[in-house]
Amino acid sequence: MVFTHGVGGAQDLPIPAEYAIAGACAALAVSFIVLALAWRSPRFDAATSGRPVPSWLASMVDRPAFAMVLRSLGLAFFLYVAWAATFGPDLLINPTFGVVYVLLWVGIVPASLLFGRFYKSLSPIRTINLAFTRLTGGDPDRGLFELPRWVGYWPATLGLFAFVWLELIYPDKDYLSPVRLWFAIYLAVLLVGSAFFGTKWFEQADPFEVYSTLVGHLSVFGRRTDGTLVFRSPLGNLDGIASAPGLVGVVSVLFGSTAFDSFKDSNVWLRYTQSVDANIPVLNTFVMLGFCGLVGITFAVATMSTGVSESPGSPRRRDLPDLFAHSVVPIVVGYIVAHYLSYFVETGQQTVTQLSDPMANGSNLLGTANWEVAYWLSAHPTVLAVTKVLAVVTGHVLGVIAAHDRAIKLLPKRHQLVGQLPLLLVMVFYTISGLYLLFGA
Amino acid sequence: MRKAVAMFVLIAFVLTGCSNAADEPSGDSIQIQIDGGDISPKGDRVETKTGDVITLQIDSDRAGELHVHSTPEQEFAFEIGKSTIELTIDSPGIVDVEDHETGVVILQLEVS
Repeated sequence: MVFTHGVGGAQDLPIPAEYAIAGACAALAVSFIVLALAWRSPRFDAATSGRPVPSWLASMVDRPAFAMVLRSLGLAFFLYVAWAATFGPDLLINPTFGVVYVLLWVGIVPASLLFGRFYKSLSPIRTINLAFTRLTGGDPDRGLFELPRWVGYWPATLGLFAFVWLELIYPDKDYLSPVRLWFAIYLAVLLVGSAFFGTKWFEQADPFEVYSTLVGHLSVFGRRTDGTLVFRSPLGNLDGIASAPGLVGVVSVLFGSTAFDSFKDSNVWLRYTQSVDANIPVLNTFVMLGFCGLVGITFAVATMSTGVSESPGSPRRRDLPDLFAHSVVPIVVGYIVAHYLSYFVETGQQTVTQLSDPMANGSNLLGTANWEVAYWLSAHPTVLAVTKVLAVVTGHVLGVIAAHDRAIKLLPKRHQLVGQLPLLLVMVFYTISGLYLLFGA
Repeated sequence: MRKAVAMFVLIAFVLTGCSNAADEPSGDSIQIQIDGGDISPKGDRVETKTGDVITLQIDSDRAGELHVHSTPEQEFAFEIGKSTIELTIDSPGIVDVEDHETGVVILQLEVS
């Protein structure tokens, strides 16, 4: 018994038109209010800002034993799921699918919003690498070669695209062997890469770590450049995202693929794909590439169409997209919340119950096998729709503020206002398109 | 003048209201034609309410199975020839009704 939708049952109802319109108007209005009234000298400086956390918390988190506990938990969970994926039955009740598509892929967002760079601390691949280098007596941080600067986040962009391709397009994603193969390649690429380039490779190539680190910058935990653990506002924290080549690629794939997921489930696209005689996965691949490409190109054009300073040391025009890309992260998070909230809450609960019985033999290893899934959210579509619109609008507002602060930091004085106008319009376009897709679901 | 406009608007409302009611696809009973791999309808949206009984009248040249992707999922077998399936959806959402053999989504029930 294999259902095409596999993980998850009914989809959300479309959001009502009046909510979508109200959200769009709010986004538009707030954008121009920020542009007109907000501060004129940069406020966010992640290198020094924030209030140090209480000393007991700092000393607990910075203790090696704490890191060891997290690493052991991450590795134990990984081995447990690997056991289910290897020896469990190839049925949808195997928890592997829920763990990969729901707990990992969607859960990474709330976990990182709460705890910061969550995946980096738990990452089983980092732990394996650590154990390996300790055995061979090497230094995990140092590889054989220095990673060239232009590589940046491009490996993670490819990795993220490969994952969303598996999740959204590959027809047999609900069978164990493709999932196992995907993760075997993931492990191989990361381990071999880290042998060449050291742990820097994980920061730039591991799709899950990069995703988690980006979203973690919207949490209240951050570190100053000197390493001090601080509390600070999510916007202040967001300023600390390391800009590097390919950052635009990462945010474009995250936003474009989620928008494609909404579009793919729309009735128009369903009826079209069921009436044409075409290779649907190939068609979908091109459409998803188109969505991601549209986000990336509009963003690059918008950020580059401003006057820049010619004086040495100021940013070059072609660096601007990556220097502004952090401001898309809140927009991505807002849209992910809207798109995945009910799926995460409900299918996530289902996965937790399945985790107790990985071999499907009636066992209750974690004591969660008999939990009842609560469908409260699905049963209250109005609450769900309001939450979705609020999430999208909040993400938009944070994104606009982050972009404004960055513009007055980077652009020459006389281009600051007009220079951020194209970017503002592109963000409004993203948000309204997102709301439209939720409305046309 | 103002009165005339108001009257016109009122009439327009009444008329569109009536025509909407007449055009509304009846959510109660839906015909499904299966001819091997050729199935109609091909993914039409049907609006319905939670708890309403939906009757699917199937005319098929083969036996098969319908998967209803509600929460929780439901499945129904059908035989060669004419058969009738009755189902209800208990929680709101968009529910795909899918032919298991071909993977074709026959209907999308928009349950509110």
